[in-house]
Amino acid sequence: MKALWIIGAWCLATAAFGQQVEECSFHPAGVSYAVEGMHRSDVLTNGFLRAFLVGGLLEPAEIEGIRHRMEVPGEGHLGVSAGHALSWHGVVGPAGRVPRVELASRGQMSAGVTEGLFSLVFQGNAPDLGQTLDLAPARVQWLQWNRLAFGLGNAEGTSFVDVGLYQAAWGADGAIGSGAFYVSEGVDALAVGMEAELDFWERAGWGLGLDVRHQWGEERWWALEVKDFGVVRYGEGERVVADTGLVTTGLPWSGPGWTVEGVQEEGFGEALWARKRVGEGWQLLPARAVVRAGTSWSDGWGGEAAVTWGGWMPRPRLDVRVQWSPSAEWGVELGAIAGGWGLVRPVVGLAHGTTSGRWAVVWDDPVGSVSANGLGRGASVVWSRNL
Amino acid sequence: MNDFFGTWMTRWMLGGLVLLGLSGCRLEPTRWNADIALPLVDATWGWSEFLGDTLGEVTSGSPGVLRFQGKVAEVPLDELTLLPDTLVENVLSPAFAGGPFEVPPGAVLLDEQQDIVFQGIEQEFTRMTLEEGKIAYRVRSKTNGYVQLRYDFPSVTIGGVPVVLDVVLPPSTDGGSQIEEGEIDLASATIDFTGASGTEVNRINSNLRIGTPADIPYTALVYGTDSIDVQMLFTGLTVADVEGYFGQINIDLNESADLFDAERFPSGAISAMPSQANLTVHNMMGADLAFWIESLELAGEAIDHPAMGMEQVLARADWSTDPPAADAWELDLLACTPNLFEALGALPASVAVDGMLQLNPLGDVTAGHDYLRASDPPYVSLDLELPLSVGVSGLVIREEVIVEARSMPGFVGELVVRLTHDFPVEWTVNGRFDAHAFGPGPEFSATMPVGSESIELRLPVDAERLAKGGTLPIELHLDTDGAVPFSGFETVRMQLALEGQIQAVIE
Repeated sequence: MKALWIIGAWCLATAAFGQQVEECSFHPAGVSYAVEGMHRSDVLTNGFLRAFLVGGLLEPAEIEGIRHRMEVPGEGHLGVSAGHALSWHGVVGPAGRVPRVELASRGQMSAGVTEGLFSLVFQGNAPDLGQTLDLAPARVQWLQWNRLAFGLGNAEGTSFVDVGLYQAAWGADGAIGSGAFYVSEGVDALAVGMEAELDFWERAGWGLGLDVRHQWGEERWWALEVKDFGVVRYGEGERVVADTGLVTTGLPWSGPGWTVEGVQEEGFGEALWARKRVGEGWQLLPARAVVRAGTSWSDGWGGEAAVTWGGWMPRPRLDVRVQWSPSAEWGVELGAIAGGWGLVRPVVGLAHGTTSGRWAVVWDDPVGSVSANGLGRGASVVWSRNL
Repeated sequence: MNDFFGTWMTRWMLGGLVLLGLSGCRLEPTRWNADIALPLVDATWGWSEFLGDTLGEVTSGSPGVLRFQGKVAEVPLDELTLLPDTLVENVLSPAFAGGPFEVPPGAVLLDEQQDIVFQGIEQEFTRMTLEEGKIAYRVRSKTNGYVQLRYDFPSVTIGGVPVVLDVVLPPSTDGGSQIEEGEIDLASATIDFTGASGTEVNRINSNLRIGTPADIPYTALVYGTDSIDVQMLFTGLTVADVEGYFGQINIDLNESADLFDAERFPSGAISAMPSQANLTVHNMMGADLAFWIESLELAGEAIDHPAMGMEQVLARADWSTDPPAADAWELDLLACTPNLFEALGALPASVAVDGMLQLNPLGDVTAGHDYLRASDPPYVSLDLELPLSVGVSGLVIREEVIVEARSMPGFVGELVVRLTHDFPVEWTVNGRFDAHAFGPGPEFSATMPVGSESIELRLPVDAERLAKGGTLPIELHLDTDGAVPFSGFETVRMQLALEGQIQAVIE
């Protein structure tokens, strides 16, 4: 029973915010279903995002607060993901291996913008006359994929290799490579330049990827994990490219470059934005690498720490958790997460075993999640049972 | 499988995202306000914008001096530089009825030297080089056999090589015709117009040969009703240079031109007197030239000059030297009565000159050796030196700035008008913003003192007016206390900017 709790706690911990829906190693043969979702930012509040998506007025004070938070790093980030997974684990075979199957679906978006671009869009340029607003670097990535994976693991479920067939149903990747916007204090000179590219692909693409985990030790252990390490070949799509520059004290009547006459001519916009169809291409999956370490103390206490890189996160993410299981049926955990798309926030979890199976719930930033001033929210739920 | 992944799974995932992220549904548009400030237009008016952009150069100083030395007009000589089209047609028909008669390969049906006479030319040309032109040809055969046609033009050479048309037509059957059409480019061709004898004018030597090709073993069957028709059209001939006798061509010099647009300069007077103003007629043509200036009028007011009405003869240019020695005749504009520049100071709307020009007033004195290079026709030049010590009285200048339509939904703000100038005199300005379909907006008026940094005026404007675009007509008023020295580099600058708030909306 203690081993079962350890395995359940591990499932619960790794299914926390910001991570891909995890398979739940569970032996003997078992099945699990996990669903999770999150949005997380280091600058955008829940209230702002809600107003942006649901509708309403974006308050100037709210926008100013966001910009204030962007000042020191000079940029802000937002990550959104949601997914679910159905996993099955077979009985231990003659060689001590356990067959594994997982069917999962997931969507993920990552965005990063500069303070200059944010303020230009949401505050306008008037508050920054005489200052150059940097529009780059900025990037938006979006991928929705489905995955059918087959693998083999050890009897404990702590080490495994899964090979996944991926279907990328839709994706986008856009970036502003360089860009700046400037209007002089006297509003008598303007300079703007931008190099940007945005790709959409709307036809399904197929690819392969690996999930690998290997753990050393049991009571005190550490593990290396690689997730979604692979590529997909996406279908046809559209590319929008902007490469333009303008320095003016107001548009002159005629002559070379941008003029009053020129901007009124049909087709002028085509010179600023080029749209074209693009053929098939390769896209890396948002692969992640995790170094994880944990220990078990007496009386049901345990601890774990993990550092995660990649997964389109702008910064590495550090998770630290303490777990306690007062009985075989109940377990709780408390921890903190720092980095990734967000700032430092707490995380809590609860696990409960019933006759119909075991439930594990992790709630990322429980205080911030219910506050308009919070910087994100996320949760995951895992149900699992033996067969 | 695709349906499963693409619909069922995706909907589950997106449904979860919506539930988690939105905690509800979209209730109303997303709105926010952004403060914008953008420069729109930067218009500068200086002396060249006010008075035209061919003023010449201004030397710095106080006052500055405006100098112009250059060509102001060329004498059009279309009679010498544009040749009318000439059509040459040859029809070959058998001199018998019935048939068929067999014609073996290599037989010659016609071999004839011709002088092609160019029609519609009153001059007597002996040689020319073409700037451009072409021969458009059409050859038609109704003969049941191969026909070879060779048209040689030894008088027409390109790079020293004579122009030749060589065509082979296949047999025509069932009473039909074989036709070949095409063009021969004559750009840069040299044409000897003295014909086969070398002593004629306006005609070129040619040789037409029609027969059956020797290298095609085909025996033609010729009937009395057969025919071979050749059409050669010399067309679009433009002359680069030409020799011959040009005749005594008379060219009317009834010319007029607009000067000061009354809409732009509705009132006022300018007082400025040049220290030098000479108008010179140059004869670059290898032919004598005579002309008479009968009258000169500024806005209907006659201007007199001692040389007016008198015949002036300019001798032919000597092209044996490099550069060619040209004769010239000079007219001192300061000797006009009344003073030409006082009359110009009243901002006349137009100028008109009446006179006549004649080539070879003494006849063919060189036995047909007139010469013209089309790029060097007779021309008129002006040598003007005008100190910019100018007095201005009640001058009104109207300008209009276009504000292009732009979509800025939710914009509420101001159109900011900034005016600056560096003239040594005070300007006053008034104007308004007329948005299309909204009619005249409120007027503004301001005085721009000497040395003022900037005058700023703010006109209310909204998204609807910006979406329509409009114009900003202004009037600039200028008065001076007597003659004032100008540098010639003074400008009035008007900048338009947009300042206000825009409400962005995502539905």
